[in-house]
Amino acid sequence: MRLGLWGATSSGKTTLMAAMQLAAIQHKPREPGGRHVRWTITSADAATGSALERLRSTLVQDHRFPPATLANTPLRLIFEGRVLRPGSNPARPRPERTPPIDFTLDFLDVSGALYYRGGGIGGSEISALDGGSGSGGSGGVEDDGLRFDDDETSAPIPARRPPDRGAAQHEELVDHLVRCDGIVLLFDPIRERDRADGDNYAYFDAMINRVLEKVRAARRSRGGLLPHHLAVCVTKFDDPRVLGVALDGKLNTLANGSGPPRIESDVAHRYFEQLCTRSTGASHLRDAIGGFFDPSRVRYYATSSIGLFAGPDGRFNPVDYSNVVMTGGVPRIRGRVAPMNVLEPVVGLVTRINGERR
Amino acid sequence: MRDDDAVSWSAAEAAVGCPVCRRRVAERDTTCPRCGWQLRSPQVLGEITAQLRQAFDTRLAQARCGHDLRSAARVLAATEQPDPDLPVRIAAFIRGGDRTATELAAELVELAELAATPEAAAADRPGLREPETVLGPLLRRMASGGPARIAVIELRPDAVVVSALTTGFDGQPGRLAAAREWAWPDLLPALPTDPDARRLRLAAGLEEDITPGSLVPVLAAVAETLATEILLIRPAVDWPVTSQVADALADELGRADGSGRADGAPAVQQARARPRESFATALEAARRKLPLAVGYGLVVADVDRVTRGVRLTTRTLFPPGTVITDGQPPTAEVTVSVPATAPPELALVIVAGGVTGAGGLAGAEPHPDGWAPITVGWVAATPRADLRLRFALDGPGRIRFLEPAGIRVHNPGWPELLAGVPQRYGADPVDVVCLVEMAGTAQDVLRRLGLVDELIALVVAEHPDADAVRFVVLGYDDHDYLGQGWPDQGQVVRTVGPAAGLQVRVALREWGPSVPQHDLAAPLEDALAVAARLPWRPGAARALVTVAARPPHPPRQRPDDLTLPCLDRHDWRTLMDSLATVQRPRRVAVCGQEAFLAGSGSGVGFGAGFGFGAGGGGRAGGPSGAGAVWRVLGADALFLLETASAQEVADALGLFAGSAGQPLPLPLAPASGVASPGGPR
Repeated sequence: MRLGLWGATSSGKTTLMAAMQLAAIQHKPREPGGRHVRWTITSADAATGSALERLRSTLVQDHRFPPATLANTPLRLIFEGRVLRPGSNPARPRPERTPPIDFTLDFLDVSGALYYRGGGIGGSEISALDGGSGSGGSGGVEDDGLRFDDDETSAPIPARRPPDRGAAQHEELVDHLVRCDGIVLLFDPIRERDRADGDNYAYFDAMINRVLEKVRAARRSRGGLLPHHLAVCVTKFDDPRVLGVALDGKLNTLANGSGPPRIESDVAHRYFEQLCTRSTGASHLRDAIGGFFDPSRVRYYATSSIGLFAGPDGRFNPVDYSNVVMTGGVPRIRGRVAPMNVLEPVVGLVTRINGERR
Repeated sequence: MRDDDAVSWSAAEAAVGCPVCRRRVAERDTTCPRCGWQLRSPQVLGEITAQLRQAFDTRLAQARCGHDLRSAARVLAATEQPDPDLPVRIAAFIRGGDRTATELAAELVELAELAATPEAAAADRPGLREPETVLGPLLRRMASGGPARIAVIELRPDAVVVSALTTGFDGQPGRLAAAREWAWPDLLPALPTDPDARRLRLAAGLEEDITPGSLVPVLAAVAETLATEILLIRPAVDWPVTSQVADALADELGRADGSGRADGAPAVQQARARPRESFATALEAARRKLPLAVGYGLVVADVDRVTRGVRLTTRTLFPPGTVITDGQPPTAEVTVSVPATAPPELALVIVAGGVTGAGGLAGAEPHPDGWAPITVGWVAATPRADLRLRFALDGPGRIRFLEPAGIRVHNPGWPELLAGVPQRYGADPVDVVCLVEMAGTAQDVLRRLGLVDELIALVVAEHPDADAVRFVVLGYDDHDYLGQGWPDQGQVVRTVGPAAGLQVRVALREWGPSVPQHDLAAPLEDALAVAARLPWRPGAARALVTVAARPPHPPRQRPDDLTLPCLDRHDWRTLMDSLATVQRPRRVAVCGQEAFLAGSGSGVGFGAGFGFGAGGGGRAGGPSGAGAVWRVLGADALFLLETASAQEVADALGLFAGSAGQPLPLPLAPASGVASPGGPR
């Protein structure tokens, strides 16, 4: 099974991948003693293993976010899910008779710039980003100064990428998305929060038409729509500027549960709709999703790759929950990495895709 | 004998007067009632021979000479000032005799010495005591509620003086006041104009006896004194005229007073002056033997530690009842402090009736305006030094400065002195608490510490009362968000003080910068929590100086920015509001340029200009409302670290404001002897 990971620069694509294995390890049943799937994620090849190990180390050991992704990096992950009986001893769980949920996923981790408009045509925008010159026009990717995730501007300046190489990477990405069964779209709310012209849509729009063209050419479209299942992950939900608004006055509800705090899909969807009311880009994105994807195949998730900060007792504290501390202009991960809704979008996609196939 | 007098004398003699003493005589008088000269003898039988006439002339000349000699001797005996030429001048007036003026003068001096002896004086009117002897009981009665006013009539060789004795402003009896004086010719116009002749006439007697009519002005003046008792001072050497005047005054005053007195006390007491001793001298001698009616004290300034108000009190030197015994003047010693800001000379004011620190004197006047200055000495003293003073009491109203040497006595007037005493002295005691952000680059932190150090150094060097300013420096390092991230119980705060400036400066040299842990805030709130628990001095002015770059952490995560909450959950605003309400410090903040712009309301909004990250996307959203934070921290003044000077900060804190620089011309009460407040200045 092939899933595409789609998102703007610094939307958290790489971090999400880095957190995937941690999310699997930390996965807990919704209810204590309830039905539970124990997930194991392994690398399907040495390159993937090496890449993920490096990313995890960056997150957990260094308390930093992964550096920018410069080159397309294919990642192949094997997901193995074992459904455990309710109430079984976690140390010695007894599997259900339900068959295991196993699948292999192919991701292509790419620079967010490849999704940006024009990025795949002549490569000039990508080249300009890489080299740090030639931008400054209104169409260029703005430097948000965050040095976050795959923000190329914060990474060591690589050798100028030849235009033809950028075009090739873009084409590789388009082909990858066309072949995908499902897409995980990362929506960065911070990009929209304070900018009326938030550019999540720009990153989406530049790519989606190419993908649709190729899907149609391959006669894979469904009623003129893309056949893909879509998981829209509203990322950085640990950020106080997101969580504080999304759960305005209801933060205490997160502290009531017994396990790690959970934020349901409807919260993410509602927050996304709320952003659309004041962000033109977000509303365009919402319209584009509705215009290119079957609404029944779209789900929303409140996602945080690093999760919320928990105090000594491991519980959510509505007074102190931000897991990022800005130090020297760099965001650092303050406490334990506890991914939230990282595994769920993938599993949800796979479940729905498999369900259709059956 | 001078010719003019001889001629006039002959004429008068020929009329009605005694040829010897010139007293007017009657037809029936056979001898002169004054000098006993035989005016008429039995009939002489036979011719008045030349021999008889010569014998008479000789006898008359001898009588005249003898009379004049005795009179002249009285003049010399009563001379108050040495006058070597007087005997010769007086001798010129002596009639008869064949001696030269020089021989006469020598004889006069011999006679005068005899006449000037107390025995000779007393022989004239036995029983008259000396003035000092009479004054002692009189003044003691006055002090114990007796006569409030005593009229004093002095009969001097040249004049008659009427004065009054009252109780002085220092409560001491015997103050001489309201003197009126008549030269003898004013009362007796027949006296010669020449002073020597006039004295001789007074010593010889006038043609007419003195009548009360001549003394009306004196009697009226006595009445005006409203005195209930009268002291008549006769001259040391009685002259006929002064004796007659004294007798006439005693009779008249005794008659007038006797009708109104019920206690039987003598209406008129008489005394005889000691030769060559003024009444003032006798009075002073009598006063010296009196105990002090009220205590004498040195005026010192008590400066209230809270209000800095100057209150004048006294340090008792001589309590009431102090008296000179056996001629030894009592002494007193007191140690005072010289003000830090004093004029070149300090005024040592001795007053009667001041309020002392030990509960005051009975009946003491609480307000300095009512104190009676006895004397004022001026001494050059070293600022802030202790000054040991010694005094001697030479009598009521007579203080002598013994130590230190070189005290200059000059009394410019009590009101003038009081006008020079400031109502407030010295700087208010100030507790200055400095909150210093310690995380950052060495350059930034040293700049912050440097400003604090300069501020303290400025106070130490230039404050008139640097000891009044007490410093606390609270340096705060960052919360360890990347470490355990749990509450650190205020361990991020370093503390120096409360202490004097020098001590704090030494301690600050050991402080170095720490590594920042958070771009957006620093635990200023933890420092505020420590500041709130500091032992602020009651009554001291307070100042809170914040030298920082980052605002405090909020008490809880805010939905609008990435600033992490305080690990100890301190609420800086609550702490500051409490400090502002309870301790009421002046609040001065010194911050970086961007914070300054945000806090000064210069139109640069925090979100765009605070510099802790763009207000837009990503993870770097800065704290909202930081401008308000700086306006609260720097409620009274907000400075830019790059340009702020210690002087500006000190001025904003008011450390050099007020009356600190106005000199205090009086000594300060020593710290060990805190006096109870007297009257406010």
